[in-house]
Amino acid sequence: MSSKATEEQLLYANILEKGMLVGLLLMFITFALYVFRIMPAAIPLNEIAGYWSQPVHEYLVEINNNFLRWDHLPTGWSWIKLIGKGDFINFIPIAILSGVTIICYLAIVPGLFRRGDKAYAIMALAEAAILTLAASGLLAVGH
Amino acid sequence: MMGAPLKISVATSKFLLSITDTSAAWIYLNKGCVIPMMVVPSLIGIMLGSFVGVRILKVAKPTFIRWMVIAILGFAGIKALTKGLGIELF
Repeated sequence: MSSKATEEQLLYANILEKGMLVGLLLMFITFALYVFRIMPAAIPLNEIAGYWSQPVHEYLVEINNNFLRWDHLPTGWSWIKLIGKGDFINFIPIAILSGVTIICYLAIVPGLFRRGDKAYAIMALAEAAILTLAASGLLAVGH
Repeated sequence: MMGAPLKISVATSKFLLSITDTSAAWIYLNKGCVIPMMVVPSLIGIMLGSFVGVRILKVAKPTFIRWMVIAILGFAGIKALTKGLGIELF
């Protein structure tokens, strides 16, 4: 087995590194917008500490009743509707950091097929499919 | 600890974590369990810590790293055990 990294390994690492840096930089910016109150938050900054010790369902019910007043709880991709709020804009870099692995896998698939490495290509596609399924919110685990 | 080269160990660990943590992150996001005030500082700390950690690894003595890992894992294990048994130690 060669110790030299393949073209696909390097491509994966480069995309992951760039995506991670973009996510980290964005995270600094969006968090600063939130904590310095440049953008108004959906849940006021001085009140959030009163909610975070509660179980998830109670936390969601209470923030919905007290601040959001939606017909449904703020789960799944519904945070997109609150993107103009200082706290929920922080979900963008988190989603970027969570999504960059999917892009990495999809990017290496053509190269793996070209090299005739079908097993790795199928595994990469399967990984991308599983992560996309997790991101879609179609899979539900836990309570 | 297992005799694997340091750089390969670190890369393997980071690679594996990036996959498992990514799928877990989506579940947390979809369940509405993300509180930015808690999550963002933790994420920034973990990421900056991993940058610093990799650089320290290059110069740190393997024996020191081994004992540090044993101590941290031992502490985490004891904490998990006492929590499971309902014993308040700290």
